[in-house]
Amino acid sequence: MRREEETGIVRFVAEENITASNVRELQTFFIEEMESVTAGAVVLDLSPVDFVDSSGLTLVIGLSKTCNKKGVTFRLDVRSADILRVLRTCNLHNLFEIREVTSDE
Amino acid sequence: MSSIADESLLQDFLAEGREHLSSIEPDLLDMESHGSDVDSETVNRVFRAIHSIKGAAGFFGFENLKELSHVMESVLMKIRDGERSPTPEIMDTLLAGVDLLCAMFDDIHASDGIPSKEAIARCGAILSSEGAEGAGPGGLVTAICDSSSSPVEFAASRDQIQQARKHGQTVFTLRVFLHRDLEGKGRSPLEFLSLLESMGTVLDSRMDTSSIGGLDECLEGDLLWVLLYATVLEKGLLTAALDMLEEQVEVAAIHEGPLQHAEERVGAPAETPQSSDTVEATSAAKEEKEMPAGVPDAAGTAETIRVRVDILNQIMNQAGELVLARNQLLRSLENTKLGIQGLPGILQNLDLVTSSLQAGIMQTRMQPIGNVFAKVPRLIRDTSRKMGKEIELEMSGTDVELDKSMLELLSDPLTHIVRNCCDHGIESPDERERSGKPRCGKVILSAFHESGQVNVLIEDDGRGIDAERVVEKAVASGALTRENAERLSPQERLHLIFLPGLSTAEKVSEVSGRGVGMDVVRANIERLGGNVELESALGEGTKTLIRLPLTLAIIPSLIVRISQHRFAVPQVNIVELVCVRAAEVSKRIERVGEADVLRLRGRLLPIVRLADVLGIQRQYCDPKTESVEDDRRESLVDRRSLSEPDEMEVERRGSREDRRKSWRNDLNVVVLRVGSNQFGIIVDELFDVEEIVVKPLSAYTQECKCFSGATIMGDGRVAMILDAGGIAAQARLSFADTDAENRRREQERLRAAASAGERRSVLLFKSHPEEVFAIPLGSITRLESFDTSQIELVGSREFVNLRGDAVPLIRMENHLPVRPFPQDLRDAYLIIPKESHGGILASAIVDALETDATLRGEGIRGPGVLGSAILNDRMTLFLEPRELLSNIAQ
Repeated sequence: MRREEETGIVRFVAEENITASNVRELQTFFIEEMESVTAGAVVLDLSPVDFVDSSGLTLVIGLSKTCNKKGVTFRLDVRSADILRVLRTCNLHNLFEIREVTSDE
Repeated sequence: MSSIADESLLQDFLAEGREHLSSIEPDLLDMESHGSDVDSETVNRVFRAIHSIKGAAGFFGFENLKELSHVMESVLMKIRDGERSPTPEIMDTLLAGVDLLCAMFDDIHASDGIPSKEAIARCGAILSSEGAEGAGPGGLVTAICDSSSSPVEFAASRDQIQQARKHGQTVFTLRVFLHRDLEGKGRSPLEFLSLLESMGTVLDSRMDTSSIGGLDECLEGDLLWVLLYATVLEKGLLTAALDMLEEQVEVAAIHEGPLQHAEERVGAPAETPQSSDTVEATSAAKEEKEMPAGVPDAAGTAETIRVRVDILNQIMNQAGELVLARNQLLRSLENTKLGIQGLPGILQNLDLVTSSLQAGIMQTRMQPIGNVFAKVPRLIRDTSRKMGKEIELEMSGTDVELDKSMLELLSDPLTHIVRNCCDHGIESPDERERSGKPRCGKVILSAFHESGQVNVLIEDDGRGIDAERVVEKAVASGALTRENAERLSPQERLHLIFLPGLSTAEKVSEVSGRGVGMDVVRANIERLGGNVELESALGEGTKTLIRLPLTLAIIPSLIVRISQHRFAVPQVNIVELVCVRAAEVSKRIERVGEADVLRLRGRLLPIVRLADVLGIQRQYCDPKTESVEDDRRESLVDRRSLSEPDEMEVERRGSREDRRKSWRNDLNVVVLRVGSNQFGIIVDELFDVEEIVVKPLSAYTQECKCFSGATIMGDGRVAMILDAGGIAAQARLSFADTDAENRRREQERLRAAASAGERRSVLLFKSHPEEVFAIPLGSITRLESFDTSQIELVGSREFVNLRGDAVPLIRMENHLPVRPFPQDLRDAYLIIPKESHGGILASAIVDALETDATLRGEGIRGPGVLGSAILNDRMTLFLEPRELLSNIAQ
C-alpha cells in the first residue's frame, strides 16, 4: 500500500489484492497512517488491483468509518468491474463515494 | 407441489393452516370492533397466522396461496405499525381474503386456479392508497426480511418482481455472514455473487455495516449481507446449492409502496454470529419475541399433541368392537360365571375398564361447540352490513362439547338458521323503531345440556313467523290442501316452514328467501339423530331449538323385540315405557280418525304397532298351549271394544282363559318423542338398555327411513336402530287430530264438570264495573297489575310491556257481547292463563272462592264461555280461558 498526498487529499494506492492474507498488515498500516491525516479527504485507490475478498471489503468499510469519525471525506476509486459489481450490489455506494476509474485514465 | 415435500408434510400444513384460519376470523372481527384501539397482541396473532401460512405455502410452491397471504400480511403489517386503522372496509378485504384462503385450503392442489386477482388487488389498493408514488407500473416495491432481529427493507422495482414471478421465480431473502459463510467456506463475495447469478437474479442487497465502528475492530466481528434474490429453485434446493442453513433462506415478504426509512434500515443493527450456536440462539430469541405471553413453548410445557382424525376414528371403531366383544362375553358367561371362582370380579373389572376406555376415547373426539359458533359473528356482521341492519349477537355455552363429526354436520344448519334470523327475523332499524323496539336487533345463540342431550337454542327478537302466511304459502304451493290446513295445530302450522321449497319471504335476497334450506336444516339435524323445534310469536321473535345427542358413535339404547326380530331404540328418543294390561286394552285404547290412541293420564297418545309399520307378521302367545301363533287381528280396537260377554257366552267359553286378557298379551308401549310431538310404538317385549355401537347402514337400506343404523348385539345378532321420526312418517301419524281431540275432550270435561255442579275454585273479576266473570283458578299462571298508560298499540293489536315481555292484551268486549272496559281507568289487571301467550284485561279482582254452583247454558254464548251462575247475588259468566284464547288466536 502506498501513500500519496495531493492538495487536501491523502491517497492510499493499493499495490496488491486485499485479502485475508494481508488484511491484518493493512489494518495496522491504515491505523497508523490515519493518525497523521489532516487533509479533508482520503482516497483509497483500488484501481491497480482486481480482487478484494470478504476481509478486504470489511477493511475498506472500517477505513471509511474511521474517516467518517474524523470528519474526513472518503472515496474509493475502482477500476475492476468485478469489485465494482460487489460494491454496488452491497449498496456500499450509499455508505461512501465510489468512483469508477475508466481504462483511459 | 414441491417434489421434496411429501404428502404427510402437506397434510400437516393443511391441518395447521386451517387452524390458523379458524382463529383469524374472530380476531379480525375483534380488530374491527376496537378500531384504532385494537390490542397489539390481537394484530400480532393474526399477522403470525398469515405469515405462517405464507411461509409454508411458499415452501410447498402454492403460489396463489403465497401471493394472497403475502399481500394480506402486508396490510396487517401496516395496521400493526399503526399506519392504517382496521376500518370496516379494510376488514372486508381481509375477511374476503380469509375466505379465499379457506377455499384454497379446501382444494389445495387446485389452489393456483382459484381466482384471487381481485382480492390481491384490493389489498394492493389499501397498501397503495397511502399516496405511494412508487406504486406505478415501474415503481418501487419494498420487501421485508423479518427474520433478523430488526427487519431489513429492500427496494426493488415492481417490474422486477413481476418479471421474476412471471418466470416462475420465487423471491427469497438470503442472510449471509461474510466471514462465517463466505470466507469460512473459501468463497469470496464475488464468487458467491457469481454463483447466485448463475441460478437466478440478485434484485437488491444490503450490507449491515453497523457492527463496524472503525479500523480498530473491523476485523473482529462479522458483516451481515442480506440479499433479495429471485430464483426458480425451491427453498430446499436453494439452501443446498448455496450450502446455507435453512433459516438463512426465507421467502421474501414483498409489498408495494415507497421505501420508507430505508437508510436507517440499511444500518439497522443485526446480530453478529460467533458460531452457528449464536444463530440458533438468535432464532430462538426471535421466536420468543413472537410468542404471545402465556403460551407455552412447544418443547417445554405443551400439553396437547396433534393426532390425525383417521387414527382417532380407527381407535374409536376398535373401542366399539371392544364394547361389542365385552357385551358378547358378558352375555355368554351370564349363567356360568358364578361357577368359576374369581370370574365375576374379572368380568366386572373388564366391564368397568371397557366403559372407561370407551368414554376416554369418546372424549378425544369431543370438541367445544364454540368452534362452530365462532363462524356466527362473521356471518352476522356480513349479513347485517349487506342488509343495512343493526344486529347484536350474544353467545353462551360455547364450551359445551359435542362429537367432532356432529359439529361438522351442525355447521350448515346453524348457519342457515342464523341467516334466516338476520334476513327474515330482525327488522330494519327504522321498522324496529316504529314497533317500539330498540333499533339494534338481537340474536342469542346458546348451548346447554339437558336430559343427556345437547340443546342449541337460536333466538331473535325480530318480527316472528306469521303462521297464517306460512299456511297460505303451503296451500298456494300445493303442498297442503285447505281442508288439511284447517286441521293443523298452531305448532304444526309453524312447522310447515320445514316443507321443501317453502319461503314466506316476499323477495329473494342475496342472503336467503329461496325456500331452500329449512327442509334441509331439519333433514340434516334428524340425520344427526336430533330434532328441531320452532316457537314464534308475531312481532316478538322466533326461537329455534336444536336437540342433539352427544355422539353418534356409541349410544345407550333400549332393546325391544317384535316377533323374532330385535331392534334398538335410542334412549334419547324415549319418553317413557307404558305397560297396558291386556284386560285394560279395551278401556285405554280407542280410535280417533284413522289412528289408534292410548289414553294416558287423561290425554290421548297416538300409537302404532311397530310390526305393522315395518311390515313384520305380528304374533301372540297362546296362554293354553304356550305356542306362538300369527296374530291376524286387523285392529287393536275392533276386538277390544267388544262388550263384556254375557252369562251364556261365558258358559259357552267354559273355563277357557281368554288369551286376549292373559298377561302374556299385555301391550308394551314405548313412548317416543319427535320434536314437540309424542307417540307410542307397541312392541312384543322389552329388554335391557345397552350401550350399542352404531354401524352405518349399507347403501341398500339407507332409503328405509325407519332405521338410522344398525348394531351388533351381545349375542352376535344384528339389530336395526329405530329412527323415531322415520317411523312417525312411515305410519303417517297426524298429531293434529289427536291434539284437536285432546283439546275438545278437555273442554268437554270442563263443561261437564261445570254443569254438574262440581266444586271448584274460581277467580272473580270485572271488565266493565257492572259485569262479573269467573275463571278457574287452576287455569291461571299469574295476575299482574299495571297502569293502562302502558298499553301500546302495534297495528291493530294491543300489548302491555311486562318486565321486558310484550304480552298481547285481550279485551272481553272484543270477543264477547259484553260491555267495554272503562276508558278512563288507570289501574288495571292482566290475568295470564296457562299455556297461552296473552292476558285478559280486568278492571278489578273481586274475589277468589270455591263454588259448586250449577252453570246454565242460556244467556251469553261465545268462545270460551262455559255458562253462567249466580254468585254472591250477581250474575257471573264462567269462562274457560284456553278455549277463549285459542279462538282468539284462530
